[in-house]
Amino acid sequence: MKLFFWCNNDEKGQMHTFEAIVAAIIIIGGMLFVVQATALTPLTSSTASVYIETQLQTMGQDTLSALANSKGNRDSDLKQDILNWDGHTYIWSGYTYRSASNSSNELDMDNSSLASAMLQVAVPRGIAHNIEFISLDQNNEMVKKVYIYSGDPSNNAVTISKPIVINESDILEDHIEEFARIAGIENYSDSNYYNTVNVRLTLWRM
Amino acid sequence: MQIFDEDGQLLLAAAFSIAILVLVSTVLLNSIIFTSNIAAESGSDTMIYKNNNLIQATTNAYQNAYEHDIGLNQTYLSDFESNLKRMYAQEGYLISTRQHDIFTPYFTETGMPGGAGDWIVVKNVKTVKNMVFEIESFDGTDFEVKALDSNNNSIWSISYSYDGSFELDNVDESFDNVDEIGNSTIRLSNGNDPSVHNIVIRNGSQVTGYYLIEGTLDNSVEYHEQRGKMINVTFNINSARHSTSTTIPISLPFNYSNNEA
Repeated sequence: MKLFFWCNNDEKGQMHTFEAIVAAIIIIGGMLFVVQATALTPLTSSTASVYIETQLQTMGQDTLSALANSKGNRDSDLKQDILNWDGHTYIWSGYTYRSASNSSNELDMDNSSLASAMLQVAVPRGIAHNIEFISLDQNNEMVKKVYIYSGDPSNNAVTISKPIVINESDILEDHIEEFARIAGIENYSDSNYYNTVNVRLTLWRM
Repeated sequence: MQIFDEDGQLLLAAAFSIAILVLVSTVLLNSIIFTSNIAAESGSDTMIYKNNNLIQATTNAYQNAYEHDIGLNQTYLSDFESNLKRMYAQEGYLISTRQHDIFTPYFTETGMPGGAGDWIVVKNVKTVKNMVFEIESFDGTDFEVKALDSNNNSIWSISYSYDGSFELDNVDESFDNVDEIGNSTIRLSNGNDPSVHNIVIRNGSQVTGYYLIEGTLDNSVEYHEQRGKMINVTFNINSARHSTSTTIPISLPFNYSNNEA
């Protein structure tokens, strides 16, 4: 039985054309696949990394919210961290945070609830973290001071921030100018209001 | 049967075509699943967190800006709001706040008229250093502040009855200093009862006024509970994706000092 009765010698040209089109599609498809393909690394964005980002976001929000809670008539731990800061940038050295400018200067964990929290929730899970204090100066320019630095964040890093209101009465009267100089957080107002510091936490998987 | 060379070629070409169709449909399906997952994960939107941050910061600012008998320091609030607006603008949010009138709170859990009238003010109290209750308006229903031990037995109680005066039960024995000022204010200090207790309010929904209680809890942590006045503040947050408006009541402090006792 002649199955493809319409396919005679004269129509071989059509057959070859069809073959050529299919071959071209395969070649172009292969090239597109190669061009679009990217190397999968632990930092490659994917559906899974979106899920991890959500987890990091929740973890960061919970950490900052817990530290921003004040007990009784006392300042919150987060506010105390800002007021106690000596102006140095600290880097995780493997077992403690050391000053970037003076490696013999270790961050006192008893005076830093942020560092203690990171030590408990981020370090054991291999989560890199940057912490910055952001405030406005008297010219309304944004001033960013780095408190803890772990390097440049990856593409799937998440950022969480918490505004903390600082009053003049939170600082000893004769230490106001010294605090502004050391921490780089200026007095924004003539009233008892001092400034609002946005504590910004950036988390990412190493 | 006659075999044509072209038959094999056609079958091969058809097989390739089908394979390509399967490949394309698989890639499309994968893209759809990926996109829907991304959409689902975007539910973890940070707007609620931003809203909570704003409420917390504004509550702190209003409490710090308030001075009893003077009112709100508007310079403080103006500078705070100006700073906050600029800071949020950097993140793509437009913030505005609106103050409502200051009012005297009810002795309810929330301070609002519809709040719970029977509630625990402080749990597991070890000592009371200072306590002040000032009644502003009263509708005749018995209002009561009392200390209850773990078996719900009363240690001491203060009632404000229908005739507009305080009735004290075991208060003089439980505090070193008891000072009634007129018919509406009572101040107590240096509580000496050693048992751990809860301080509760009964029938607080028909009475307005101020209170302050401070001392030490059973776990040695100091507590400081107070409510002088209240104010409703409306927050508006606008971004490219969202727009929210929230009105919350803020408790303003009593600003009571030990010198007043």
